[in-house]
This record gives sequence, structure tokens and C-alpha cells, in this order.
Amino acid sequence: MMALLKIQNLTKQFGGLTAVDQVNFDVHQGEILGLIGPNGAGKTTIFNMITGIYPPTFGEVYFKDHRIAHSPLTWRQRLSTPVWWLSWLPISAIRQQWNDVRTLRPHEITKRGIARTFQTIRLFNNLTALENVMAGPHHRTQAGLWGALFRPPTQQKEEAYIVAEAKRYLKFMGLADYRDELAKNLPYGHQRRLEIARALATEPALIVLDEPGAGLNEQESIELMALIHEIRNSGVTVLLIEHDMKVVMGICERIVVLDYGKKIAEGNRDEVQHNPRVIEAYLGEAEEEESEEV
Amino acid sequence: MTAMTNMNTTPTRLRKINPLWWQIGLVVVSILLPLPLGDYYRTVLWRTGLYTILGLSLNIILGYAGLFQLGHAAFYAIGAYTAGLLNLHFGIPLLLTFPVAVIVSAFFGFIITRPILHLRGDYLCIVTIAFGEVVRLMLVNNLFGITGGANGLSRIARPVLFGLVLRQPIYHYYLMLLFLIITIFAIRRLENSRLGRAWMYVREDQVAAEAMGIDTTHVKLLAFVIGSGWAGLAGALYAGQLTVIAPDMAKFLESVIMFCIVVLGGTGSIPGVFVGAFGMITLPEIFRPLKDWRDAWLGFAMVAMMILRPEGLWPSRRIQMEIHAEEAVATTPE
Ligand SMILES: Nc1ncnc2c1ncn2[C@@H]1O[C@H](COP(=O)(O)OP(=O)(O)O)[C@@H](O)[C@H]1O
Ligand SMILES: [Mg+2]
Repeated sequence: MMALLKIQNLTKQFGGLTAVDQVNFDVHQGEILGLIGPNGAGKTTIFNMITGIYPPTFGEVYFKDHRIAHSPLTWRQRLSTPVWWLSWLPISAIRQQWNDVRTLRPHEITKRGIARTFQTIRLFNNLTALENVMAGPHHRTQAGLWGALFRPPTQQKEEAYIVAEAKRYLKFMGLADYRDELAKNLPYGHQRRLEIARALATEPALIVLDEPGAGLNEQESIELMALIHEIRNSGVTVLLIEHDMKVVMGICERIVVLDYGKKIAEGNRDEVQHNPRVIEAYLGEAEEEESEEV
Repeated sequence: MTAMTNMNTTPTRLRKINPLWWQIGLVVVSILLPLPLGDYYRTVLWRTGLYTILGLSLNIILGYAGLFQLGHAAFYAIGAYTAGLLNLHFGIPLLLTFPVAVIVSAFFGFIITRPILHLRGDYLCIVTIAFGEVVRLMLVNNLFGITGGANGLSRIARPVLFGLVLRQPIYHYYLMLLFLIITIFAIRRLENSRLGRAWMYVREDQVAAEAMGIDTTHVKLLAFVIGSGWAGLAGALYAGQLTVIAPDMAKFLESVIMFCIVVLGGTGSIPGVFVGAFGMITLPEIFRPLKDWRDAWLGFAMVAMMILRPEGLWPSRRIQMEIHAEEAVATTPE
């Protein structure tokens, strides 16, 4: 099976704290991979490195065999890299090489086909549901200032396309009736789904979901898991963070377990469920929760 | 309780485009408005309109893209000086200098804001204040040897349209009105465009916008370039009416007035900018005593407004709904 996303020796240090420590795993084309681990294990930090929000301290991320994340070049490294000297040239072969060397910005990674949601929902609160999802087609449309002012036929066609696409994804996530509601006024469960609709509207090859089930009741969780299955069946690979083991077991074919920034297990449901280190990590957490309750 | 708040905010549909007659009516009224007035009040109207254009140009930066710009007057001055210098040194008719004034101010908007785009909120605000002052001091110190120092430029030729020399205030009023209408038309189109939406995404949540594939740096830069360029146009209009320009155009108080015009009426709202210009320009001119007290009145007005109407006097419907929805939630007993 082809590895769509390859994570190699990925490490992130915040000051003295190593949040992610030498993590390796692959995400295969067409699968739903679960990334689980107790709170503070470093899951969100890995997502932030994949999507270009934080640069890694060490290690690399490859997507479709191109490097999309690595530790930024130091000035000394830049000066000794031939493509850095030539990077201003508008020659596509050079640009291509330079793109593999430089640090990509989050929007460039999205453009290459990775979309994400956030653990704490980040919608455009004062815009309607439809306008939120209309952000998705932005990167594959063109119109700029002239298009806006003079509205030539190409721009009008493009606007119609953007609206149609946004409606399609709203419908897919079951939000067609909430099109003109402000995102802020939607119930919590709908906001989670709207965020996924918005990410899907970028037409990614890989969608990374950060605890999409957090804060949902059981019924909503079940519906969401069904939707995630559908997303995968429509051809989008899913990388899913989940804090709650039960939810993950329901839909993920393969699971990677993280604890204190280190990968402690990887495999299918049974392998992970019966792995003593996983049980220990989760037992520790259960005890912590219990002692908190007392 | 969620059901309650939904009930309170049911009319969340966006405002429909104004019917045509309403727009035509407004244009007719603005054409007739100065006729019964004397030259003094015609000039007051002209000033109000000019600051409305300035407010609308700043509204792109501050209202749509949500970027604090407290040095906007610098671009107003750059536009005026561009028009004035081209006219004085090369004898180019003033109206023909307008496009150049727009391009030059936009260019300065580009080079000044490009290095500071990554700054956020209050930091950006402080740096824009500094840049505004730098521009003013450069003009005062006659840095290029052509700007006339503290005295500025004088005897700029009046604009000529089809052989008609625009001398009386009424002509300048109509010239301003023409550009005001163009501005409103353009801004309404921008609001409902791919670019306009991108600005709002940036304003709402920059991290999310970036994660959605929007090049936030590019989009913010465009807001600054377009807003600055249009402020330059207002500067050129000013040069044509006054024929004398001075570095004081770029002073900090001017930037503050522009900022207040946008915020007073309601950030992001076109009618709000009109209300703001009326409050900041027309009222102090009509009530002369107020003019001497303008700084104090400005402070009072802002404080009173922040307490009584935080959304501005004529807010965009969206922001109004937003603020009152929050109140409804806050006051609903659990
Ligand atoms: N921006 C940051 N600065 C400093 N520490 C951080 C930052 N982001 C995350 N951390 C720390 O890194 C660790 C992993 O966090 P995170 O990736 O959010 O965990 P998870 O998503 O698995 O719950 C935590 O100890 C957290 O406090
Ligand atoms: Mg997390």
C-alpha cells in the first residue's frame, strides 16, 4: 500500500519540554488511521507540524513523496544550499527543488491536499455557514481585484461554482438547512460538522481531524463516525485524533498510540487493545481522573 | 437555552441589496443638497464627503480585513503631494495626476506595510503610527528637496474639466460626489467577492483562514495596498480644492479622525462611515464652538459610544446581531 503521509523521526521541543519525541508512522492511501493517547501526549502538536503551523525541531513529514515539513534552515545552511541562491529564478525545475527545501506555510500545505479541523473549534463566527464553507474553494479559484470590480463572465462563473461547491459540502455534512445561520449561532454538534464541511471543501487528499468527537453526546458521536466513514469512502484519507479509545475502536483500521510524546504502539484494534503499554498508559489516566473526582 | 438564542436571532439572513429607487433617491438628494446652501456649507459638505471616501478606504483595512491602521493619513498626504508635484513640476493637469496619485500611494502602502504584515493587532497599530509620523517628518524636513518643507506646496493649478476651471466649492463638491459614488459602487462589489470574503476570513480567524488555503499575507497586503491607494485619491482631490498642501495632512490627529470615522459609525459598515464622517467632520464645522473642543468631544463621543453602543451608530447588520446575541445569552437566566 502506498504511504500518502510519512512521518519520520518527528520531534518538537517547547523550551525544555519535548512534546513530540522521535515519532515515526505512515498514513496509507484510503485508510482511517487513529492517533490516540492520553491528554498532553503530543497529538495536536503532531497535527500542527503536519499542517505547517509549527516547524518541527527535528525530523520530517513527507506528503505524496514531497517533503512538507522539516526544521527550518539556518542561515548557514541556506548560504550553502545552491537552490537558495537560485530560488528567485522563475524556472520551474529550480522552484520545484526549492519547494522541497524551504519551509512551507500552512496555506501551501492545504493547497497540496491536506485539510484540517481544530480541537477547539475555529469557525469564522460572524459569517454564515455557507460563507464559512465558501472558504474551501478559495485556493483553487482565481478572481482578484479586477474580477471583483468588473465582474467579467469568468468571475461570475467562478462565484457560482464556489457557491455550488459550498452547498454541496454543507449538504454532505447534513447542514443544508443551516446555510444562512451565523456559524456562532449553530448548536455545538453542528459547529463540529461545519468545520469538517469547510475542510472537505478544500478537496483534500488527506483530512486530519483533531478530536472531532469531543463534546458530542453519544448519539451525535455515532452519527459523526458514520460520516467519517462516508468521507473515507468518497476517497479522502482520514487521520483522526481521538482521546476516547472506545470511539476510535469503532472506525479506525489502524491505530497509533502516543504517550508523553513517544509512540508506544501501532497496529490494528486487537493489537493495540491488548498491548500492555497501552493499557498502562490509559490505566494511569483513568486513575488520575478518579483521583481528581475524589 | 440554545433554542432561545436561536429564536432571538432568527432574522440572520443577510441584508438584501437595496432596491434601485432607494439608491437613485440618495444620488438625487446628494446632487440637490448643496444648491440651497452658501459656499461655506458647500465646503463643509465637500469635506464631509472627502472624509467619507477616506473612511471607506480605511474601512477596507480596518473593517474588512480587521487590521489596525493608525497611520492612514500618511497615504492621504502622499496622494496629495504626488498630484501637487506632478502638477507644479511637469504641468500635468490635475485630473490626469489622479491615477498616478492612486498608484504612488498604493506603492507606498506596499513597501511600508510589507515588512510589518506579520505583526498582530496592537503591535501593528503602534508600528503604523510610527510610519505615519515618519512620512510627516520626511515631508517637514524636505527629505527629497522637492516637498517644500514645513510650508508644503502652494499654487497648484485647479482642475480643469472640458475647459471648465473648477474654482467654486460647488464644482469640487460634484467632483468629490462622483468619486464617492464610484467608491461606494466599488466597495459594495468588493464586499461580495472572493477577495472581500478572504478579508473577512482573515479578520475572523487568521489561523483558520491560513489553514483553509488562504494566503493571509497576500490578502492583507492587498487590503493595505487598495486602501492606501484610495486614500491617495482623496489626497489628490484635496490638493485640487485647496491648491495648498502641507505636511500637516499626515499628522497623527488626522489618522485618529479617520480611525474614529470608521469605528464611530460601526466598523465594516458603509452607512456607518457616513454617520462617522457626519459626527467627526460636519458637526464640529456646524457648531463652531465645538470645533475648538473637538479633541475633547472626540474623547467623550468615543467613551459614551463604547458604553452605550459598542457596535457603532449604524453598524453592519451582522456585527449588530452578533453583539446583541451575546447580550441575549448573557441576560437569559440559566
Ligand atoms: N505552543 C506550545 N508551547 C508550549 N508548550 C506546548 C505548546 N503546545 C503544546 N504544548 C505542550 O506540549 C504537550 C503536548 O500537547 P498537545 O499536543 O496539545 O497534546 P494532546 O493534543 O495530545 O492532548 C503538552 O504538555 C502541552 O502543554
Ligand atoms: Mg490535543
